[in-house]
Amino acid sequence: MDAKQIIEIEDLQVFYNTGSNLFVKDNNYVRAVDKVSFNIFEKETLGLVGESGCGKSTLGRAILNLRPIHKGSINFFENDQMINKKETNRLSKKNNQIIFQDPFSSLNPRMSVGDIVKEPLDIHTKLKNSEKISRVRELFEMVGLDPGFIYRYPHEFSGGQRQRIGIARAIAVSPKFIVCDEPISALDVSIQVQIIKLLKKLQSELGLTLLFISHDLSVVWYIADRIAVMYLGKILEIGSKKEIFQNPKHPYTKALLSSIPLPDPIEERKRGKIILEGDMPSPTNPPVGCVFSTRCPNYMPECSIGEPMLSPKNDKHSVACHLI
Amino acid sequence: MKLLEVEKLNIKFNILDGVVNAVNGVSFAINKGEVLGVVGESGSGKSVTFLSLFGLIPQPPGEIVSGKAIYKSENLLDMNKKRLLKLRAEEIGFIYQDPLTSLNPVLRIINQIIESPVLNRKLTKAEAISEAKILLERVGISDEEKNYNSYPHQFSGGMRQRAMIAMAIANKPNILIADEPTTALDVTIQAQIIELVKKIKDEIDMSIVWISHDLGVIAGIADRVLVMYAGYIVEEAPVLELFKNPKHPYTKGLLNSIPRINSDNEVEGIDGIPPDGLKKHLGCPFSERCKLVLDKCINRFPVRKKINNHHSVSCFL
Amino acid sequence: MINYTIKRIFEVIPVLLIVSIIVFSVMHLLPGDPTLLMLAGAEGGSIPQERLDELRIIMGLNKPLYEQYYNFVTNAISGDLGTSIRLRTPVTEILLQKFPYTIKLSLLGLMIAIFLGVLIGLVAALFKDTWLDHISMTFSLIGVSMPIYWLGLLLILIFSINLNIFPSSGATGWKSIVLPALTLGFVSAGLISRLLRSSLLEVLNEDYIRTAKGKGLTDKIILIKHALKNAMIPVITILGLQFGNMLAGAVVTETVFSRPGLGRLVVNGILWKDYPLVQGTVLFIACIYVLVNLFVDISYYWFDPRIKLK
Repeated sequence: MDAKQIIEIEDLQVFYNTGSNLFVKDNNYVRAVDKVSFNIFEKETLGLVGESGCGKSTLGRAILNLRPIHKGSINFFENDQMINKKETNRLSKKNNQIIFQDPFSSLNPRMSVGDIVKEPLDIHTKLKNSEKISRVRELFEMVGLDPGFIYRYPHEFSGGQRQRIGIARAIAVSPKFIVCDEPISALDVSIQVQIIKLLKKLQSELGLTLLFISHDLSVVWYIADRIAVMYLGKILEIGSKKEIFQNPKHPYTKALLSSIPLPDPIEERKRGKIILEGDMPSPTNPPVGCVFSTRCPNYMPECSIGEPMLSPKNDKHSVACHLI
Repeated sequence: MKLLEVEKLNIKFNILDGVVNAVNGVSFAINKGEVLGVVGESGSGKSVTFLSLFGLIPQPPGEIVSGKAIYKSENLLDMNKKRLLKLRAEEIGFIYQDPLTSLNPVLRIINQIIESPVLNRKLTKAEAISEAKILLERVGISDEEKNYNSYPHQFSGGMRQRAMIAMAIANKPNILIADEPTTALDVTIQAQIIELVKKIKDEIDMSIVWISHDLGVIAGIADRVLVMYAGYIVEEAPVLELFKNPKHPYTKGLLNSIPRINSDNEVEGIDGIPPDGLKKHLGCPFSERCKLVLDKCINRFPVRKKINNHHSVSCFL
Repeated sequence: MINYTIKRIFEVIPVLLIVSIIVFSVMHLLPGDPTLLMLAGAEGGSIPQERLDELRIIMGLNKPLYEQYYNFVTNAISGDLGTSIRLRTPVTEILLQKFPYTIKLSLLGLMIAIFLGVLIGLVAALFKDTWLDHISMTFSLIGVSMPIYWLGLLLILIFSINLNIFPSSGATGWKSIVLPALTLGFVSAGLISRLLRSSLLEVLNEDYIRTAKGKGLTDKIILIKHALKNAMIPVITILGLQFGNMLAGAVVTETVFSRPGLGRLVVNGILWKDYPLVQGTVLFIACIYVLVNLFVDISYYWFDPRIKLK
């Protein structure tokens, strides 16, 4: 299947400056996203996985222009035609939305939940008020909430319900692409399933493209089509779901997969886990050469010299590793 | 051999909005040398149960309404303050979920580790420090000057948790209460910490209570498991039995909420929302979310019944 | 640490500059002819124009403003703050003579403020919601609301006139400093006690206190070693400002108790319309204030190691 790409990211770099002010110049940059290139295809769910500090959240927000870009490009396409910068800016907020991690802080406690979901409609559409309200009711039903609740306030809802409200807000203006930034991490396990099933359903009903950012690989297995593995600002491996989970190539991916606790006492105790030594280095001072070189069980001297590139490019399964 | 036996523990919290029945009629035992896994989600009462046994739940607003907790033929809930302090210092160790907030930010880590040994075992500061250095080595924090004199915020999350473990085992406790110790950690660091705790358990021969919402972690480390919901124990079984042959609909629902990697099985999850502590339950607290609910579930509370020697469940089915 | 210190020292310079501009402007932007005001106050009657012009030239008032300002600043840096018209002595000399009194009073006031404030705040937090808490907080409310002069007069009434324990004026002997210091300190104590109470209550709810309890440490140790050190951090933050309040309060206190010092000097200077004196004193007080705050900022490191790494 030759899927159309809708977002193309080339050599993206997003850096944060730390501690610089009028009197003291601090040249410490946090290299949150460091030369990342990949594509996102229409109607797919791309899972972006990694541990804390790897830059996945920053990457997601940079795509939506919520973080300033240091270098590199993010291009949007429609029907294989690249949309120029001006049009991108105009359409960007309408076509590209975000769902946040924390259901408690991402909803304004002073607005009724109906108003929260109506707001995007106020900004991006010219509908009459009655039409907007009826659309809000429709959205509530789509996310499994009673439309009679639209006059209530966020604190009256549970975490899972609030996340549904966040989803309703995100799909209100019929976007094409949604960044889901750890949308279920703050929820109870039994509720997490409700939400990801909802997302999956909405994706197929509305033809959405999702960038699903998470540190939870079991959930990513369930919802993603392709997976990109990030570490210290770089993508180390990217491929289809089956390829990544059943045929991981990068030592970090292998270690990550082996660390996932399986809810099966026999399997869990039998299998040998790859335990990594130490901690992830600071993104202000990444290792020379391969970013994973300091902890890699398959370390070779050349890993500290040159940085491995993602290859093969534009293939079903690419790895950035000198071993391969 | 039973180290600790808890009978019909009831704890409530008196808050502005009303009364929260956090723990309801909880009974269980901890055996010597075992790892007891406690599984539950928010509102299950799993943390409150174990912290309250040793006086770590503030009363008010908490209140231990009734129950017994027999440890070495003494009732923990009747103990005087001094005896309880000694117990906490010498026989029980604690590790908590967030190592950043659980360590004092303005004291050096090594000073926090030697505090209890110096106070309770009357060691000199020098003796305690050399002991602490060995402890830190054992938990994987290398022998470097900069590590000893560090403050908590200078350590990474994994190192902080190791430091907390060192602190907890400093006086060689009989029971280690681990309250969601890896929940806030990355999955590769989590694996490191679990390995570490397993290793230490073999070296010290202590019992561990591992509280978690992650069934995968429980599967890997627990010998027996308690499943809690809304302050009740709904099922209790040895670990293999629980995963192979779960009886309670909540346990089954939980197991069915974890997507299995490399399998195409669908996950169902559990309908509804987490329990509201302020609500009073007449019957089974899980009845409003249970797919197999019967009329009697709503009106009467299902008393615990034994399935076999080690496996019991509180359900009418 | 060095970096931080240097940074802070550099930041002090613009502040002092702005203070000097303000102090300078006061004299030059006030309505009326300063020379007339000064001479009329000193000598009375009508003054011949030549005297006024003479004075104008002596004071450099005929020069352009920026030049006057430049002279003012350069003189100040080299220690020359002009000459007092009324006392006919260099201002700097007067300041050096008087300021030990004020510093002594302010420091003692600060010590009393810390001692009382911490004690009351501690008691209030530990006995939260009991009558002890309520009484303590009432005390602090009084401290915060009561005007200094009123408190001073009240203390004089009770302790000097009725009980005759402490003198009501003068600066001889240690007894004379007690009432003024108490007056000054009481107000700050009110603020500190409220701050410490809320800070301590917050700290006592933190996870690391639970960890300390879990280790079997006694309540006393937990309070002093774990809780207090953290709870004092916000209090330390405001200490620099509180010292500034002491200096300001000294103006009123020294007047009420007829004590010599910078405060009294400023008040008298204003009454005498002795501009060089007022200018010099205000500049001096401002500098002390800025330097004390700088010192507090730098010593902040000691209390909160998290600052070290920023």
